[in-house]
Amino acid sequence: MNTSWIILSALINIFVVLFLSPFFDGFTRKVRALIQSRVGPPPLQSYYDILKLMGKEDLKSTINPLFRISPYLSVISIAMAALLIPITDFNPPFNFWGDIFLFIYIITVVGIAIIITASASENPFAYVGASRKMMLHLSVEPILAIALITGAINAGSFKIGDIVTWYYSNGPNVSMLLATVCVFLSLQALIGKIPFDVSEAEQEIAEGVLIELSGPKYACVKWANMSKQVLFCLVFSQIFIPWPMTENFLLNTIIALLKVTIIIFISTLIEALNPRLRIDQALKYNLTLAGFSITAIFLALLGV
Amino acid sequence: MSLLKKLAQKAFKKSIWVFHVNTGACNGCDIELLDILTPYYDIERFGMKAVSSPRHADALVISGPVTRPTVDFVRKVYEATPEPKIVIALGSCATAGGIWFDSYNVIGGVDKIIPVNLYIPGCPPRPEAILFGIAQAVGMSKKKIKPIIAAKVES
Amino acid sequence: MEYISYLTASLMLLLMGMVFTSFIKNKSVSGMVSLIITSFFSGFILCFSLKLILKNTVLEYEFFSLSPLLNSSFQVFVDSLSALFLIIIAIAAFCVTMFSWKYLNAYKIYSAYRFYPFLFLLFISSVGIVIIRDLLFFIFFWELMTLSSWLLVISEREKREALKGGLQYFIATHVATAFLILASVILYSYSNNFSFIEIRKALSILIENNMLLFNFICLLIFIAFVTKAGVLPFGFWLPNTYPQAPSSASSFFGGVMSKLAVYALFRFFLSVIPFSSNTQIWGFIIATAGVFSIFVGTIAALTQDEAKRLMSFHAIGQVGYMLLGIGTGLYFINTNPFLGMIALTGGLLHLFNNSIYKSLLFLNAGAIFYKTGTTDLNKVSGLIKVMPLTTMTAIVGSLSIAGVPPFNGFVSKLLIFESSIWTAKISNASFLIKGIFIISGIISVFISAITLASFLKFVNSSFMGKLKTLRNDKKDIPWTMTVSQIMLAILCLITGLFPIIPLELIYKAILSVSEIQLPAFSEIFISNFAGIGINFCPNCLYGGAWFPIFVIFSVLIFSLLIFAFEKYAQAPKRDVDTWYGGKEHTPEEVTYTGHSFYQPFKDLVSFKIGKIKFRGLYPSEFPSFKVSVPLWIKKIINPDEWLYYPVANKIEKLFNLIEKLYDRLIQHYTFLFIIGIVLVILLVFYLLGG
Repeated sequence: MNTSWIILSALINIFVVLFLSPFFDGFTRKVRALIQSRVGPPPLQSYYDILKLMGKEDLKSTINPLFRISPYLSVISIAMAALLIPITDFNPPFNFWGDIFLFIYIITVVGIAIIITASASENPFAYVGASRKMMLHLSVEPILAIALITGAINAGSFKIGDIVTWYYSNGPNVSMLLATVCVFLSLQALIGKIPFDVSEAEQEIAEGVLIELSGPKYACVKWANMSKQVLFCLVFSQIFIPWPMTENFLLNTIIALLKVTIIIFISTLIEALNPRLRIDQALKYNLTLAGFSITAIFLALLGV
Repeated sequence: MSLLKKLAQKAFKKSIWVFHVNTGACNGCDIELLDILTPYYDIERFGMKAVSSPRHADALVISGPVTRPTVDFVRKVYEATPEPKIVIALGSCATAGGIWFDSYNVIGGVDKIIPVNLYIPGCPPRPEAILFGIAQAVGMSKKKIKPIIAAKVES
Repeated sequence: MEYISYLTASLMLLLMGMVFTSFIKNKSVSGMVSLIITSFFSGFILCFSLKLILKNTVLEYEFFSLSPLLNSSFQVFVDSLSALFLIIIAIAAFCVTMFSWKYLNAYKIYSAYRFYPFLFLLFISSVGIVIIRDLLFFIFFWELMTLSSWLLVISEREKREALKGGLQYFIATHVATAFLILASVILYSYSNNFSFIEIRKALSILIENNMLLFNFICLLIFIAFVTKAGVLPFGFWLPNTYPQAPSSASSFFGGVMSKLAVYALFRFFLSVIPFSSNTQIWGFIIATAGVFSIFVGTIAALTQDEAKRLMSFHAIGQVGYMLLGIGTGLYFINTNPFLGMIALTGGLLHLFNNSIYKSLLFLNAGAIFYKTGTTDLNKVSGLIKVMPLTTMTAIVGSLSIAGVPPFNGFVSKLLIFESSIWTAKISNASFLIKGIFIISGIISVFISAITLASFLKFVNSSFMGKLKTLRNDKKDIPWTMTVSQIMLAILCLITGLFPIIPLELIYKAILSVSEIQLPAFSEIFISNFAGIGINFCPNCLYGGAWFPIFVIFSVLIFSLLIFAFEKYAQAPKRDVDTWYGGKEHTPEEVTYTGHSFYQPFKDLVSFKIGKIKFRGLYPSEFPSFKVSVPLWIKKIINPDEWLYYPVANKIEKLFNLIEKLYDRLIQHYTFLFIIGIVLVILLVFYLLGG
């Protein structure tokens, strides 16, 4: 646990989550196109999109200073959250006692940034989107929290690193498997993709929270959304399915990338084959799942 | 000009996002525009996609003759689109007014209101024609774009 | 004795302020006088209490005694816990007075002496509650606090809602005080002295002899304090009462007054009532009450459309967090001092943080009221354009109350979550108890998302969006109001970035109160200015630490990188109109009002049981209920019918008869007179003649 290892590991995490995320987005689009028997865009398409948006004109529809700041905050907080995920080793580069709560809060900050951007843009569509996004957040976060707490009770530690280490060495038990299933079922809602993309429903409320953004700001929020997909798939693959993990950090990174690719493929299948839910249906789904996942905690208390 | 800016301008041609404006069309052109999103033509392989807000758009596809009630809307949507942008007039009506060129309620083609870069005539234009027009716009085919704005797109 | 002179001086200052402001009618003059007096008071108290805590000493002083009459004396006792609360009071009092100076101009109707004297009385009574060590004077100050705050609530007595809320408050808190008085009378009969020390002795005897009575006294004390703290279901009055007072007063209510009830609870259950097996039971009850009010209070807050009412519901919810921490701490402090200590520290740290950001948020609501004349979230929007600094402080306050790092709510909530979930690892607790504590922890995690949601609603609908018409001109609010908010916001940030400062104060406070052996600060927390680490058992290793400074540092690096990236891309900028689909709209047409936020969620938590409508798990309207009473009871309770009217009628008839004697002519009277005289003479002759 020396400094150089921390810096290297942090750089790898940020590289995977922030800089590879447009590639994974391109992969998603390609898979979706293939499912619909289309050719689809080139795999680097999302890089082109972000680059193009970076150079476009930045339209300002309000004098509100928060409108200018908060899109960047979304990318920053994704980067912060990326530092809490174990990719190269059992332990993530940043860890402390209680980082599962920090992680839950930091992914909330992503939501806050986008919600504040939306409401600062003064567009009523954006307000509708912001309201829906917050509701989705508050219904889906308990599931992730409960799953992580189940791990914490099993492992006897509030550190993500310890949870992963425990899970890797002890193998799955009933409560952890249940938590894993719950996180998987809430994965689409965590990412914010179909069937849970109610806050950015293009056809319904014209991209909702993003309607007023243009140029670099839109690029940032787009980028944050792409990175969010990779981030949550990494959470699922690295914390809840930590196998296999080796001594070599490069090999670990490659294994993590392969796992993420598989999970993104499954998530894209779900996305391509499902319609969008209404917000009240999504809320009920998530809250029911959250209520159900409390069972995992009781099982963990019983020690199974 | 910084490297990122140059890259952005290169990337512009590879990802053109389209905002569709209907200024009073008979929906013939609109259906043909939708047709290029289908698996058969699949415009997304050129990195193009339809967006739902002009703030995100690079290209405005305007179909239909500009009727009097929609004049303000056309100006507004042109203003709401960030630079660099290209305006595509889709169909005969948008190009010059079509069969309503002398109607009391029609201003005429889109170019009477806002500058147009690309005309795709036809009533309605076939999807192939739209693809061809867009291929011209992104530089895959020989260009027939208005010189002043072509410089903006090209550089 | 140097300390006592500080204390007497500050109390004298407050008394002086009360007297002065009673005679000044002009709002600005009165405000300035009270600001000067309060700043001296706050300076003295801060100096005094910081000295006391740093030197680790205790102040004991007896002013006078009622000794021949009653075994009670005005006994001042200031330990670190009291000093901590004195700090809170001093900060809040200063900011509140500073804010009130210009703020009162927003009220056209009432004059200064409906406000300042009572505010000073409230300060005096809050200081009194904290420093006293005698139950009789404690009740005296407690009652003084209730009365002065009640007078502040009804200070706008032209409004019907104010009177209604004031009445609810008056009745509820006086019932609670009655419980407290009953408890004190029972205790006096056993201890024969009102001093806390004697009461403690009496209670430790009582605990062995009469367990039932002991628990009854605990129940009385619990209900008395919990009603004042606003814990549901006893705190039903709170959301109707707090919004009625002027915002600066409600800021003191929410920031300090309801916390003083938690102080009293803490003081009584930790130092006055001796430790026993019952402490565990009461800890469990306190924790459960806390969770109940967290859950119901905060979800009810989500459905509110009025800023101050929303914050009042949050006051209920936040008190729940403190009680959860304190309850968990009381449950475990004997069996597992490490866990109990972390929970207690979390509860008190949350109290400290809450008093800062709660005051701040109420002041924000006051600023909105000053600018627009209303705090209804459906009627205000876009205020960031006229008061940007207030908006920033409101965002800081909202993120703090939601516990978003690196603001101050995060650390205290972290301690509460961790301590309640760590109960799973305690081997000697039963499965059900562990389950309930863990569910409490999960509920509090879930609820902090809801807190965030409701405060984003507050920020989004009042400060963001299009600017609507204002009451005043477009200038920013007066600088005194802004400065007081900014001071509190900076405090939020500082205590969030350096959590070690309040943690050490609080740890000392708890150590000074409790009499059982507790682990030292360095055994539990890493004493490091950059962050904190927590240790749950004597042999555990530190699991790393929470370093807010490093987080801020990396956030700054990232933001610099991204801004550089944006500058490097050289994107041009242009000002445009908002895109509504090409049309023009007035601000009123396109505003997304506060009522529309989270509508599906509100529908999910609104239902009807019988005739009572529940909105956000909280009964919103009661049906008007009628009690049918048997006829004979009605007769008995109506003595007019069978007692008063018959007697009155009889008497009236009698007097009518007497009256008839007098309505004759003068001749008749002369005739009767002559006859009478004749009769008398005849009688006299008859008697004399024999």
